[in-house]
Amino acid sequence: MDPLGPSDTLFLDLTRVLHIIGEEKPFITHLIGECYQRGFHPVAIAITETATAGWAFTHFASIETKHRISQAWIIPPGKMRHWLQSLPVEAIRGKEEWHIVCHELGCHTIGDVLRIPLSEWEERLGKDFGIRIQQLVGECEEILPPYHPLPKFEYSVYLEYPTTSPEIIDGHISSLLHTLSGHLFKIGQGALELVITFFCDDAKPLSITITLIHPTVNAEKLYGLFQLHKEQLRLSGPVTQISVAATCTASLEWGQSTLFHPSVTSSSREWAELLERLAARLGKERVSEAFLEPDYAPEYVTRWRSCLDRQRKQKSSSVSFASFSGARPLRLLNNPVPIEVVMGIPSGDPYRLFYRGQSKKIVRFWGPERIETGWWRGDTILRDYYRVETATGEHFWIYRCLSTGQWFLHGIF
Amino acid sequence: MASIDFVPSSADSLGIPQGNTFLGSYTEHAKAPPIFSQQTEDSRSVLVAVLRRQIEAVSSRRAHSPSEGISIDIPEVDALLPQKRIFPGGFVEWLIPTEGIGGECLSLRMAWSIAVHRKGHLVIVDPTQEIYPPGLVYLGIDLSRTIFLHPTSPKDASWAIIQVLRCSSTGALWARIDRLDTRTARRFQLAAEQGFTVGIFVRPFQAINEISWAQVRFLVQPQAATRAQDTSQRRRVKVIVVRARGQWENTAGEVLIDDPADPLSQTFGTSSLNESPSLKAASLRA
Repeated sequence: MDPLGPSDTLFLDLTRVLHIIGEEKPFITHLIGECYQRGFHPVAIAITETATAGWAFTHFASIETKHRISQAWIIPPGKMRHWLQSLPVEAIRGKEEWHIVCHELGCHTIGDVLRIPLSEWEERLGKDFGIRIQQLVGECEEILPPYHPLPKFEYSVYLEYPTTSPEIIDGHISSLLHTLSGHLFKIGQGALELVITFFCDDAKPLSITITLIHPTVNAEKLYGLFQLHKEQLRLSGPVTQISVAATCTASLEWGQSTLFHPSVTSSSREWAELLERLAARLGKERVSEAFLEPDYAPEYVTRWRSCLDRQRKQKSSSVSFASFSGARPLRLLNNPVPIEVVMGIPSGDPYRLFYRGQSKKIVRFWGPERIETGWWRGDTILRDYYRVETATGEHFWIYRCLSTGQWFLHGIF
Repeated sequence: MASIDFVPSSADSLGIPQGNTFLGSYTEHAKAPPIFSQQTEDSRSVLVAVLRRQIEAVSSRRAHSPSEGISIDIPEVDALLPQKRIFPGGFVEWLIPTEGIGGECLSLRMAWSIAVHRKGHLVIVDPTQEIYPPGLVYLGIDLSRTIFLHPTSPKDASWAIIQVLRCSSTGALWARIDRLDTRTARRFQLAAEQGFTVGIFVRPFQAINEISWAQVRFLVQPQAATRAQDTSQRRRVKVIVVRARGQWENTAGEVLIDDPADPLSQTFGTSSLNESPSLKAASLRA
């Protein structure tokens, strides 16, 4: 498994094992078949001299096809540089800022990067970038930490007759949760993430994930959270098998209950349980916190992160209102609404706007605040923003797209 | 002069705290009509006062002590409230005739002040995902203490509101609700009573004709800019209390909403939670 990135990559070290696996082509065919049987399809496989190059090929050399097909590459020894030339700079596994700087300097492919001396790159992006490039082309050894799979806590039940009966399904799940909880309790572990999978006749398995903030072995609580999830569950057919797996566990938190002053602990626990319930019913991603990014484009300033995200203990954004050069509205429309604006001549200042069939006289305005950004995203923003006050006391955030001259309503104060 | 005897004992059966109870005898009321027509103005006003107390007793199940009340740190709005405080265990409605007049701004400030006072999180229910976090930062709201819920259906939204209000660890809840039937409103109120929490709901002006379970109902009216040459981004709104438990006359006041980034605004603090609520709330002043 890739220890640095998202766990979508499996590294296999094939050094000196050719006598075991035999030829490379049949081995790849065998791997694809094994992956397919385990539900991983399509997959991308690359046999390369270095792990970093393997990652680059599997993630950025895929050919877009209409059909979901697995793809594989075998890069002959000594040909690495040649094959890497055409891959985009994003294929250099590492920090996002590396890629941004490369693009800013006009280097869009690995070939462009390799044409510039490594020392110059290191001066600009640091030693890590140099090491990564050396690892990519096989000039520097890369050590892969071994993957230690977590113990699997999974229980399944095969139904004698396929069923859609909620009572029967609920009964089995309750029983499985009690078995799982009992097992976890014996080893002092609590479930932090639970995956319940329903296998249906002639259909893909359907899984629901229950995420928790505190590890628990309380089967009743887990069952209650499953019931909230069930609202969104749409089975595609009669269920033949149900499995319950704790995919993330942690040591149980033991604490002596106190007779006096229990409020702080119980309050935080109650809050955590509320978030768990909300996430179970609404979906994990719909219970979120907002973080601000230092980006000038209004629509890219906010980043959402689930409150139940285990990676969320990152430094909060330090962006404050002082970071913005002008006022920001309370509501930002997801899609800016085209409006008509009458401008004064020759000043070009907004004088009257037409919104929802109404003509609104502008009595005061502040601006323009020019926002010109985003060219590297391929979505150049070139706008003059105004905060306007209408004669009826409404405050709107409007902008004029400088490339088209069209006016839009973007926010409401 | 007719006299009416009051029998306070029936409060028990309604589950109403005795200390807050002053219920009259129905039999006395039944006999009363022919006599009422001969009442003087004084006795009418006494009767009206008595009836008001009775309604008050049955419409508020819990007797609040002043210490439970929360100042929302907007002096002009505080002054409009019956006891100059918002009491946990209910919800507040802000009726807004049109968007962008400052009602959402005031209601969010109120919700944040309550959340800070209760040392909890502010929960914002926003199905359309249009609430813009930088705008909240502008109001002095700390995003690290704010949770956003983005339900996909009205059913999920009302379920989430009930769950949040029922949780006593909630600081405050804010939601924009266009349609609210009486039964759901009653559920919200019961959930808030159970969790002893406060919900702040922004509603369209049309809701003024609906039965309300809110402890306070505000109506926001924009005030046209008086000075076009005024370069500050302040705006003036009129806030009217159209309904409040324990208050019978509409009261109104004007609030001037400052823009924190405006150099002409002198009173705005920064958005750190560690600062006193009064400093942070100073963006809204008269």
